[in-house]
Formats: sequence, C-alpha cells, structure tokens
Amino acid sequence: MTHEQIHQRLAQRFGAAILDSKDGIAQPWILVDPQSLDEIARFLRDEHDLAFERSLCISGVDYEGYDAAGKGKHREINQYEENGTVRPVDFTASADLGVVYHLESLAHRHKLALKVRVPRAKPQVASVGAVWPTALWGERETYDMFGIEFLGHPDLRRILLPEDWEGWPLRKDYQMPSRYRDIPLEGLGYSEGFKR
Amino acid sequence: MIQRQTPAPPRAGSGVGLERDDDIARTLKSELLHINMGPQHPSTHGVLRLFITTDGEIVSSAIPYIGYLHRCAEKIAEGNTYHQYVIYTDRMDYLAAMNCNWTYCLAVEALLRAGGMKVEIPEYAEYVRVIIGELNRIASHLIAFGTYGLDLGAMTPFFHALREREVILNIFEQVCGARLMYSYYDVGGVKWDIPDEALEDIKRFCAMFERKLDEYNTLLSENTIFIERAANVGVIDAQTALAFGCTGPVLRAAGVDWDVRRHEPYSIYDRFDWKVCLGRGEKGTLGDCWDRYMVRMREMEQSWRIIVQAVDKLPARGEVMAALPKNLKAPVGELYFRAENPKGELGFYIISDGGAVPFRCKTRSPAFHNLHVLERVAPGLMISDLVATVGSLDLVLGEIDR
Amino acid sequence: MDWLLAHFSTLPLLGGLPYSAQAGLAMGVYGAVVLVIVALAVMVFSLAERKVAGFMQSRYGPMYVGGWHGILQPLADGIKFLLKEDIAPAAADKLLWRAAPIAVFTGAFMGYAVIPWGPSFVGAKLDMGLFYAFATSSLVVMGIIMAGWGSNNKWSLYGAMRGAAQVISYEIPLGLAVLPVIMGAGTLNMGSIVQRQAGFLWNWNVFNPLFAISFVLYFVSAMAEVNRIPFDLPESESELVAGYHTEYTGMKFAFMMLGEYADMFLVATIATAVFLGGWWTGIPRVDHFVPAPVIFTVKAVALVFIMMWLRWTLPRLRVDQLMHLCWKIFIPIALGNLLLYGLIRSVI
Repeated sequence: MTHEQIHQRLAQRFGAAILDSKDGIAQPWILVDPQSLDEIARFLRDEHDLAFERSLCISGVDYEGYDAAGKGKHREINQYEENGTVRPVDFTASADLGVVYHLESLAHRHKLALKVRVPRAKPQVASVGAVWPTALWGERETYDMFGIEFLGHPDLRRILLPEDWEGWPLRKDYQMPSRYRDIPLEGLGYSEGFKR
Repeated sequence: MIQRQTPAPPRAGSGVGLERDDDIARTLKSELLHINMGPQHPSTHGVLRLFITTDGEIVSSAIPYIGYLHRCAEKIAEGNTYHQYVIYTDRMDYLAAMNCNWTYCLAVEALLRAGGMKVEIPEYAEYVRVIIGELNRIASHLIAFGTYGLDLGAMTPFFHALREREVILNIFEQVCGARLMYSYYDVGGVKWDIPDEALEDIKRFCAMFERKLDEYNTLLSENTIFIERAANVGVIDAQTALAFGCTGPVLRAAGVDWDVRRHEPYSIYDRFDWKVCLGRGEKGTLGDCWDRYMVRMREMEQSWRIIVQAVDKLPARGEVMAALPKNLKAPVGELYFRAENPKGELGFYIISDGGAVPFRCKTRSPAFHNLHVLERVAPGLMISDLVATVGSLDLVLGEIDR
Repeated sequence: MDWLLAHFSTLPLLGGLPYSAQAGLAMGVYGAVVLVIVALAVMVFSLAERKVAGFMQSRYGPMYVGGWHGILQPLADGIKFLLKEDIAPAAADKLLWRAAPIAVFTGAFMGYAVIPWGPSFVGAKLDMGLFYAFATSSLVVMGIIMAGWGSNNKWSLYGAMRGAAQVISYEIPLGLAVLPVIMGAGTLNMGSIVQRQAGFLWNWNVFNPLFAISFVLYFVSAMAEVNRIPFDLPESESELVAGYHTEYTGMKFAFMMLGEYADMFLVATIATAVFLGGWWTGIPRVDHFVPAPVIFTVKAVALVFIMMWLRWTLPRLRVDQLMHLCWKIFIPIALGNLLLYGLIRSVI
C-alpha cells in the first residue's frame, strides 16, 4: 500500500485525529493526535490491508530549536565564548516534544512513520504497549530520556538511568545536575560538554 | 513529576506448575525467593541484572534491569559531527563493532542521498565493506556459540571459538590497527585499503573455516546433553517474536523468513548467492534455544559463503572513499535506516536540521528488544533454563544500554 | 599397616609398648602418610586438570611457575590460597560456615582408610570396607549443606539443596551397582574383592558382562556423587555463580577444592579395587616385578583422567534431567542387573 492510500484509510476512519501527512520525501510520515494514538495503532495492526505487526523503533524527539529551513541553532558543535566558556543558548521559546513510531508490515512489505507532537508543559501520549508489546520498553526509554508520559503504560519507570535520577537528559534544555547522590558531577567535563 | 508505578510483588506460590492445594500447601509456610541475578553474575554476558523470583528451581518472574553501561550515546551524538560519531558506534555492540560502524555509515549515507547529495561508494569499497562486515558477523557468532557452551557448562567450545576468532581479529588488526574498537568504516566508504597480507589471511581463513564448523557441530550442536538442555527450552514463537520486536537470529529461529540483507538488500548483498537461515524445530519446538543457536551456526556458514564469493569477485584496487565534503553537513531531513547486524536489526533514526551535527540520532538496538522478550518467556522456566534462554538471545549489554 | 605394625614390634623402643599403643601409633603414621599422599595427589590433579583442559582447548595451561611446564603451579596456588584474605559474610552462620570445609575434606579423606593399595598396604582391613567407604563418602554432602546454609547466600543455598538431592539420590545407584560384585565375591572386604580378581586380565570384574554394566553405572553415578561435570549442579558456575562455595576464600576454599579432588580420587580408587583388578596387572608373571601400589595408583589416575576428559567435553545436565537419569534409568537398570545376577547365581 502506498503512503497516500494508508493516509486515506486513516483519514477515513479517524478523521480529525489525523493531523498532517507528508509524502514525497525519503520516508513519509503521518502526524496524529497523541490522545487517540492507541486506537490508531490498533487499527493499523488489525486491519488486514494494513497489518503493521511490527513496531521497529520508538524515538522521542525534542523539537526545541529545530528549524526545518536548515538554519537551526544546532549547526555548529559547540559555541564557545572568547574566554573558553560555552555560550548559553536561549531556550525560553517553547517547543514541542514528539514521539516517532516506525512501523512495518512484513505481510505487505510497507512501512510507516507515525508521529505525535505534545506540548512541553504537558507531555502525554496514549501508550501503544497493548498493541505492540515491544513498545513497552521503547516508551519507558522515551519517558526516561524526555519525560513524556505514556497514558495506560502498566510499568512506566526509568529504564536506562537510575530510578532517582532527576531531569530528562535528551531534552535540549537539559542541565546536568551538579551532584548525583554523593557523587559530584561538576568539573568532570560532563556538565560543560552537554551544554550548548 | 510523573508518578511512577512499581510492579506489584508476585504472589507466593505463583510458580507455574506448582499450584497445589493440599495439606502441605496449607500448613507449610512457603515464600517465593527473590534473587538478583547480576549485574555480577557469570552468565549474564556483561552487566545485565535480572531480578528473579523463584519458587524452588522454577522461575516465576524475571525482570531485567538495564542501564549499568549507559554512556549517553544519543546525547553525545547531538554534539559530534557525523564523522566523529562513528567511534561511538564501536562501543555499542563491541563484539560486532564493524557492523555497527557500517550500519551507522549506511544510515548517514542514506540521509545524505535523501537530501539530494551525491554519495557514490566506490565498488571496491563496497566489496571491502561486505568482506569485513561478514567476517565480523562470524566473529560475533563465534562468541555467541562459545559463550552458549559456557552457559550450559561446556567450557571447551568457547576456546575453540576464540581460536578462530583470533584469526579474524588478526585480520582486523592488519586492516585497521585495532582488535576491538575498529572505527574502520567511515561515511562514504572505509578509511583504509586492505593490505595484501590481510587479503591472503582472509583467503586462508576461508579455506580453513568450513572444516571448523563441522568440528563445532560435532563437539556441541549434536551432543545429546546439549540438545536435552537447549531443545524445547525458552520457546519464542513467531507471533511473540514479532510482537516483542525481536530481530535477527531470534526472529529467524521462530521461522519468520526475514533478513534485511535479503529482503531489503543494502550495499551489494543482492550480488551474492546465500541462504536465509531459519529455525526448523528439528530437535524440539520451533523457536527454542537450540533453533536460535543453530540459526547462528548456519549463518556463519552463509557468511563464509558470502566472503568466499566477495573475495573472488573483488574488483581491482581503487579508491576506498567517496568524494564527500570534508565538513560534512547533512541536508535537512530525517531517516530511519536499519541493517542486519549479527544480533539483529540495528537501526538509526537521524534527524538533521542542516547542521554539522545531527539534531537527533536515535539508536534502535536489536539486543534491547531481544532482551525484552525475556519478561514474557521466563515465567515457568527453571533457573538453568533461564540461563540457557538468556544465552540463546546473544545479548551484548553495550548495545542495550548504549 | 600390617607392615608398619610388624616393624614397630621389632624396634627397641616401641617394641616395649603395649600392642594397643603400637597399633594406635601405626594408625597415626599411616594416616599421616596417606594424608600427605592424597594432598600431593590433589596438587598433581589440580595441575593435571589444567593441563588436560589446556590440551583439549588448544592452549598450554600454566607454563611459567617452576620453569618446566608450570610444574610448581600447585605450590604457587597453595601459597596464594594461604595469603588470600579470609572473608566471612557478615550474616553467615559462623560455626557452620567454618566447619563446612573441614566436613567436606574429612568426609572425602575418611574413605581412604579401607582402600587396598596393595596386599599389605591397607589402613584397616575392615570386613565391611566397601560399606564404610560409601558411608563416609556421603558425609561430604553434610559439608555441602553446611556450606550452603552457613554462607547465608541464596546461590549457595541453591547449590546446597541441589547437592543434597543429587548426592543422596546417586548414592542409591552407586550402592546398587556394586551389589552384584559383592554377591559374587561374598564379601565387603575390599582386599578380598581384589584378591578374587588375580590372574589374567579377564579375571577382572569389569570383563564380566554383568559387572561391566555395573561398572558403567558405578562410574557415572560416582561422577554425580563427586559433583563433576556433567553433574556439577551444586557448583554450576554459570548458573549459581559458584554454588555452595560461592562465599569461600583463601584456605577455606582450598579445603573445599581439596575435598572435591580427594573425593574424586577416592571414587576412582574404589572403582579400581572393585572393578579393575586393584593391584593386579592382568598378567600373572608381571605382578611380581611391579609394586602393587604403583599399579593401583596408575589405574585410579587413569580413571581420574577420564573424569577430567569428560568434564572438558560435556555440557551440564539440568536438575530435573539429573533426577530423571538417576531414578528412572540408573536405578531400574541397577535393580534389573542385580536381579539377573542373583538368578544366574542361584541357577548355576
């Protein structure tokens, strides 16, 4: 099934929950409403002509500072002041967080990138763990790194970081804490390295 | 702060097959035993920690705790150029570092192409990539074979496997100077040409290796005790494997005919004659530990076939790098690319905003998802079977934790 | 021991002592000698094990200590064991924990009292020697349970429980396997059993078809009894870390090891005496030229080598398969064998 057909199938069934779609690029995607994601996922898996039985990859994204025009803030590695300190980047402008689901159907040999975007203030997405069990861990990882809450996830804990770690490291505005328990983290180069 | 949910503790007597309702069960106070298997345990293949709840010898639940080897690879990716990040992919699956390099380079190349840039990998470099990549696949599977023997109590196969892996590592050392962290592949090709002596060594290895495979099969695969231990144990059927995102040998052992190299050929895999190895359930149920083990053994043979053909067809020496701008900036765009690694499908999801560094570089590691299925498979296994099952998944914690 | 006692009575000083004192002294001397010999044998085995492993795994094993092929490696190990820190888990049951290595070693060592190294080289010519040897060697399981429980470590406890189940289960086929031989010999005295195998090679019990079945049963059960791969479940390092001796360090661990190897050698010597013709070479003329203990030891060491060989070849059984093998295969075969031999004996 082509991307356009998949998009139409979804648009017919879910209407307003399908927010956007982009075709004509290397990997087309469909943007959907985060609250009805689980229903959409179930539909995608269970319909015979769609049959997306595999969830390949779940990636959180922080769109802070992303500029699709190619003039983003992240064009250079690190911006240094003359005295050698890292130049602070302005992160006050609010930007969305997002989750990208890469799906695949082995039966029909088609693929789909499903995207959701959630506001930074209240990052909540419906969990698709009941549809693809593999998403349970993918969602835990996304929660761990971005703080995106997956509603309906049975066991939403941090997975890679310690349970009592503070902050969401892969967000662009993340500041490394100065200590973790009794371990000083300042001066080791970590805090400086991750700042932009 | 989002409230965290902790799992409810398992009920006493919930061990599968041990539910009983007689006088003994009522009068005898019995509890489940909670044990941490790892992070320091001989057969967790690194720093995996399994929190297992047991009822006698029977495991009623095994919850993996990971992250002991977390090195913020994805955060680091956002601060390093496309070329610089290659060395970090070495540290993911350190037993198949070449393949990790390769997949990442392929992903970046695909991203560049998707943005309209011309990336023409020289024909010669493609062959070199295939030869080295398949050699590393054999090396990785050799470790899987050897450590699986260790897990089941047979020490000797491990040393036999290391003996042949040593030959491969020597070749790699001649090719790039390193024995574990190669960083040999680069965006656009490979960094250096293969020296003549290494090519001779590869030919010698090919001449010797098929015989060694027979030796392994005689020593371990066909051993009655080994079959008793591995067959019908830790069965992962096709449906479970797909639902839990298992890839690679774990998926193929369940009988799912899916190999990215065959079904979505990248590089020059469509030019070689080789077979996708599937589990057949010969010694027990389809998708048991023996099938997973055997798929790897057969894949080694197929990799060997690919190498032999690639060495045969190797074009005349030439450039090994595509002409790419030194200060590489990927055009705006995003791409998910996956390739068949020894452990399964390694994927990279790269978003570029046109800068010198990726805006986001997510790694989809195969062992991460292959480990997840253990939560489903473990209940009801015996402790020995749990070890056998963990071993058959061929986990590398460097890749799980990234 | 008889030989010692005979010499003591001729000595000027000792000859005056009462017989009981002489006998006690002789017993002590014999015990000390056997202890030293067994300890030496264990040291040799610990090196041999690594050399055999190395040979099978295309590597050398120890090569440096002592100059020639690591000949002094066991000594270096001994010194290392002595110098290692002796760590006791805080929550261990100290008494049991300390007593366990002693129990393991004592259990293994006691059996040597009845082993007939030669016609006159026997610690005690007990009429129920074989019974005594089996009884004492199963004391080892006490040590294993004490170690597992005393360490207060869950893996150790698993090892101990497996050990208890395994050793006690395999006692049964072990005992049943030698019963036909005992019936044939009409005695439990190990020296007498060996004496009956004198003469040519085919007089050895192992070359009697029914006894050959017994021998195989005995040998496999004995490997389970002394926890060797493929039956090393109490230890099973890939599952239980190191099983019942996970928490042991230094000399305590060394004693565990010592006990294990001594036990291994013990079952090999019993097999030699009961099935392989003890000190007989199998060719009557040669018997006069070779000292009996040498022949006996060579045979026992050959059996130990086979155990090592199997250890470095085979994977480990699972606990239920182990029990299945014991209760559903070995015991019926052993019982059938016993019945068959009894019938044949009563008919002929």
